[in-house]
Amino acid sequence: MTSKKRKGSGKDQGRRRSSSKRPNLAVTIAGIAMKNPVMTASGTFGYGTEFTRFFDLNALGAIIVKTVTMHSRQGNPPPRIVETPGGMLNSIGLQNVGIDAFLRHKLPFFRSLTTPLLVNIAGKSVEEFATLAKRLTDVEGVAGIELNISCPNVAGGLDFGTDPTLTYEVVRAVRQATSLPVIPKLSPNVADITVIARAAADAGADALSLINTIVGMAIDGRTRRPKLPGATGGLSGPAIRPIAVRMVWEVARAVKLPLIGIGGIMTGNDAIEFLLAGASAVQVGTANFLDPLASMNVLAGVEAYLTRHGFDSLGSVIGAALPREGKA
Amino acid sequence: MAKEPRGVMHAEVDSLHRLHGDYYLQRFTSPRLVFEPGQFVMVKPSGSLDPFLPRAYSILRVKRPGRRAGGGKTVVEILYKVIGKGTTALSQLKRGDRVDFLGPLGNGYRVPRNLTTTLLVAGGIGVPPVVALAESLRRSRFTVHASRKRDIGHRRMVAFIGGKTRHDILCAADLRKAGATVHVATEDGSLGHRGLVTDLLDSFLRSSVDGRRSTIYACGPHPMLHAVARVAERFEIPCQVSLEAEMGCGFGACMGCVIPVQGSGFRVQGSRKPPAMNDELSTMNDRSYKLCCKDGPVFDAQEIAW
Repeated sequence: MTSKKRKGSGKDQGRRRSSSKRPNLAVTIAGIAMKNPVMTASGTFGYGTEFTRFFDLNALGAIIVKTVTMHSRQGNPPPRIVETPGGMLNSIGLQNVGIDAFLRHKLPFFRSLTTPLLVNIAGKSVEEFATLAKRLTDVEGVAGIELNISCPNVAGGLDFGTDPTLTYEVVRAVRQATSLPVIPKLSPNVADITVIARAAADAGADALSLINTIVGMAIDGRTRRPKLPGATGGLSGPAIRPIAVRMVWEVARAVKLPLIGIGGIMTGNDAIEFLLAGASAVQVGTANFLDPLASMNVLAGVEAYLTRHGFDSLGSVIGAALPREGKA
Repeated sequence: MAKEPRGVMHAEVDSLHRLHGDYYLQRFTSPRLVFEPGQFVMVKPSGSLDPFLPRAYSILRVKRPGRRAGGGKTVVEILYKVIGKGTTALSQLKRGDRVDFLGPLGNGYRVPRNLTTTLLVAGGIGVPPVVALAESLRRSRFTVHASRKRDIGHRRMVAFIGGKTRHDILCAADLRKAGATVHVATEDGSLGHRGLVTDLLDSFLRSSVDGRRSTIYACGPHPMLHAVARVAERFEIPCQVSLEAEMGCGFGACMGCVIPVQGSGFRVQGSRKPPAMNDELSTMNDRSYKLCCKDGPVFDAQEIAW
C-alpha cells in the first residue's frame, strides 16, 4: 500500500512548489486537525505549564500530557533517571495527580490554548482503561486519548502492549467507551510489533503512536547493584531512534492507520526521518529535557527541510521511503 | 525578581581555574542573567551527546558588565568538584568553547526582613549558594532603601564551613570578604576544629544570645544537612537547606529529581530505607515527593522526610 491511502497525509500530495510561500505544515490525524506535525510526548512535557515560561504552546501541533491514572500516584523512589550513551533510562513510575485532580486542576489550562490536547491514560485493567476513557469523553478541551499500554516501569504496565489478545481487548473496550479518537501507544518490547499494531487496528484504533521506551538496565560497578532501584528502566533518546524508525517503517506497511513516530527525535531532520518512514506526525520526548525549546527547534527544522526541497506540504514526505505498492 | 530564561542559551567558557585537588572554578560569558542565591543553571558542553544530559550547578556569582566595560558580557561563575562524566567534560573545556546553558532555575533562599543573625553552613562543594547568599546580603546593605536600613544594619553573618580535609574548605576568604565571621571544621583536623561542622554550629548556638532571631542557610552533603536540620530543630531556629538530586531537565518536566517530603503517612524517621517500588497500578501511595528542581532546591528543613 502507499502512503496516499493514509488518513493522516497532508492535504496536497506533494507537488513541487513554484511560489515562495511557506510550506503548509498542517496535518489531520484521526480527525484531529493540527497546525503542524510536531507534538510533545507523554511524560516529557509535564502538564504543559512547566513550558509556558519558555515558549507559546500554541505553536505546537498537539500536546500529550503525562499519563493519567484512576488514582494519584507518587511514583517510584529515587534515583529515577540514569544517563546512558546517547540517551537515558527512566523509572518514574507514572507519577501523576489522578483523573479527578487532572480534570479539576490541570485540564482548564489547556482550554486556553488553540493547540489540541491528547490525554494519555493507563489503567490496571480493561475496565479501568474504559472508565478513564469515559471520564474524558465530552469534556471540553480533550481532543483525543492516547493509550499507555507500554509502560515498562510499573508491574503489569507492559502486559496490554505485548500480548495481541490483550491489546485487542483494551483497545476494543476503550473504542466502545468513547467517541474520542483512540490512539494506542505501542511498546517496542515485542518480537514483532506489526502483530500488536494489527490487533490495535482490528479493535478500532484511529491511529497509532510508536514507540514507547525500550526496557534497559545499567549497573554500577562500584556498588555492584543496578543503578535504578527497580533494576530496569525505559531507554529513550537518540540511542533508540534507529529502532523506532525501523518499527514505524514496519508498521506503516502492516496497517492503514496514520502513525505518530516517537523515539529520540532531537532535530528537524530526525523528525523527517520518521515522516519518510511513514509517520504522519511525530512526538518530541527526551529532547524536551535537554532544551525546553526542543519541539520548536524540531518544527523549524521540518519547515526548513520542506522549503529546502521545494515541497508545498508534508504529503511529499510522509511515507516516501516506503517501498511502492506491489514491491512490499 | 530573577529574570526568566527563554530556553537553552549558548554561553562560552571564559576561564577555568583549578582551586586545589578536583575543585574547579569556571567562568562563562553568557547573555544577561539575574539570579537569587540558591538558584542553579543546567550546563553541558554544546554539540555533544556524551554526556547526554546537562548537569545542575549552583550559581556562585554573576558579574554584570560594568558601565565602563560598556557592552561587556555577563560572567557567571560556578564551582564544582570533578566526580563523574558531566564535571569531567566541563573541566576539559577551553576558553571560548561553547556550552548549553539554561537558567537561572529553581527557588533560592528566602530571607526574612527582621533577620538579625544569618547562620551560613556549608559542607565541601556545597559552598557556592551560601557564598552567593553572603555576597547578596553584603550588597543589600549598601543598596537597600533607607526605610529598611535599620533592619539590615543589625545583620550579622556567621559562617560554618566543613570538609574532610583542609583541601575541602573552599571560599572561606570570600565569606570573610562578604563580612561573615568564618568557623572551619575538618574531619582530619588539618584546618580549624577537628570534627564536624555541626559541632561548631551547636556550640555557637549554645553560647549565643540572639539565636532565636537567627536563620540557618545550609548546603552540603545530605547527612550533613540532616544533622544541621536536627540542630535547628533543637534550638527552634528556622532552617533552609539546598538539596541535591540527579536532574534530567532542571525545570519540572522529567520528574526525575524527587525528594521525599513529610506528607500523609510518609515517615522514615531514623531510617533512610527507600520506600518500596510500586507493586501495581492501583497502589495508593502513602509517601509524598517534591521535585528538587522546581519545588526546591531550597526547602525548609522541616519539610524534608530525612
